Amino acid sequence: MTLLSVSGLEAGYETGQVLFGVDIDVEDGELVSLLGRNGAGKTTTLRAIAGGTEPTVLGGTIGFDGQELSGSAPYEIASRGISFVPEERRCFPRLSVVENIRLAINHAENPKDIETVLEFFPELSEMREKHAKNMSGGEQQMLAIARALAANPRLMLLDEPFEGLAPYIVRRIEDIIAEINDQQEIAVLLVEQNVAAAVAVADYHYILAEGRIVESVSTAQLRANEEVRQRYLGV
Amino acid sequence: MSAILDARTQAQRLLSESSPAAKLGGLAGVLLLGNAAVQEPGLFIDQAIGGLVYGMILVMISLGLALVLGLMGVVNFAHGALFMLGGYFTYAAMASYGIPFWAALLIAPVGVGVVGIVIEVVVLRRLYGKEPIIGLLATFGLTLMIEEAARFVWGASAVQPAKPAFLTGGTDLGVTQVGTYRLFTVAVATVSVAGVYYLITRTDFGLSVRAGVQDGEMTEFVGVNLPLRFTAMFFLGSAIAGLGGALRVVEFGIDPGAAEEFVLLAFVVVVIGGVGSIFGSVVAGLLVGWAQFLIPVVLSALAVITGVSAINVQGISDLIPFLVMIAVLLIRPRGLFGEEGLLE
Ligand SMILES: Nc1ncnc2c1ncn2[C@@H]1O[C@H](COP(=O)(O)OP(=O)(O)O)[C@@H](O)[C@H]1O
Ligand SMILES: [Mg+2]
Repeated sequence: MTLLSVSGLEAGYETGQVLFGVDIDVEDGELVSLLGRNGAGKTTTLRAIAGGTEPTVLGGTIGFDGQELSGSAPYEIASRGISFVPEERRCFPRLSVVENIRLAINHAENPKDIETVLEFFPELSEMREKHAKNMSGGEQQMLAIARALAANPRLMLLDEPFEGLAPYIVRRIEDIIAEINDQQEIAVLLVEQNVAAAVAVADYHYILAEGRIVESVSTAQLRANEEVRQRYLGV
Repeated sequence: MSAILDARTQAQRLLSESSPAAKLGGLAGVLLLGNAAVQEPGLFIDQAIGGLVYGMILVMISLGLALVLGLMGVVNFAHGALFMLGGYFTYAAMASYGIPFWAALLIAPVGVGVVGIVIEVVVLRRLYGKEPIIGLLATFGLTLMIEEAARFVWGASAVQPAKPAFLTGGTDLGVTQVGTYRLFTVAVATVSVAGVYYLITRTDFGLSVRAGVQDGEMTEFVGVNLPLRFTAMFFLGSAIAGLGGALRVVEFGIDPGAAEEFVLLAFVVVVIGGVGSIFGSVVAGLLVGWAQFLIPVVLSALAVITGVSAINVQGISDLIPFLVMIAVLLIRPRGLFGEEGLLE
């Protein structure tokens, strides 16, 4: 069943239109990546789905579980079962690990238990009372994912979760994302610039260039097709 | 209990961050206060209680101002007008409708809270995320409107309902008498301020509000209906200010000028406490209240000791909140408990 169905999405900012008809389908339980160079419009796409104050959606539809999302407030979209892990992680800096997670639990329809979430992140369960502002980038990324997982969503939107992290933490986050998808059966839309990381976890890939989806390929096809990688991703 | 622990860590932080000069100044202040207390213990205690009553009223007004500033980023100049309305609503309930004092004490804050909701929904909601100056101008306009409306309905001179009989007496403290109503004011104010503090720092509702202050958009992404919380906080802040007005009108009366007089004092308190710090607003409110009532006593005692009568400056009292603000900002530009963040 198609869980998320973005169709003909056009969106932009005061400074101009950025997306010119984006089509993305994510099936229930699937792990899909959205690849593209810096400035291609990946973050804009995720924020349009999550209902951020910016960008403005100019056209197209965003269907989730058969219902239209665009025009809904972000908290309504969250309550339908979408958790968003934004680019800058955005843990609440002066809330503790537990408070960050509890906030998500308090406002989800069908949340996970906090101990279940912390079992999933042993690193975090050792710093329950630590404020997010005093945590490392890797720890903050884990907390942002833990917060999203706590809501027990049907779809998780991840915006460049590996950005700026040390290699061993990148591998840890890759494992976490794979587990969230396999064991927890949560569909994931992963935004990435880094093809290697996307290929490591996702089965299917959309390639975005200048606000349009230019290719949609399986992992095997992406590996095989050097021309696509060269042209749109520079690798 | 944990609130007291909070207070201790906050106080320790303040102490450890103060310079030797500030500590010396603090010591001198304690000595001067001691001198005044010894010279005229009755007057001193009288003024200390007066300062406490006044300070608690300032805290009640400042809390709402600080919360709305922290959560919504709006400088609500109309907050003083809400305080004033609390006084007028109480007067109207008691004097015009014969409603007993205790019931008026409930009705007036709720009424002011409802006015607050109307202001939030009709005016402020359009201003979130805009330049702060726009909010300031809009709420200044609202203040003038509410003030003129009050003048139209209740006249330009002060009104005051009769004090309820069971609160008219005094309590003998040996060196002086304290009006029972003053003790009542302090008790009601303490309970309501403690209640707000508990709500913000210890409940799930407070957690969502603190998150909203730190990152509003992310709070909504996590599933929090933030607009609803804005309205709820505006109701709460307005109602607490209204309760302050209700408590004050019975002892001192209220006039339309109170709207601007008290919003300025509340700004002073918020700035001294550190913008956004609830705890700071509480400390600063009490500090300003006591400073205003005790500094004149200290000066007159000092004038007696030194024989220099010029020290006893007449009419300095109304200037004191602003002098305290200047002094605090010179030493700590962020205010006593201000951080880069809000609502610590
Ligand atoms: N808040 C904004 N206001 C105006 N333009 C923006 C804003 N955010 C992004 N853009 C522009 O939109 C385009 C796509 O940006 P973005 O979606 O962030 O790309 P990506 O995430 O793929 O790197 C870029 O040209 C960027 O400059
Ligand atoms: Mg991006």
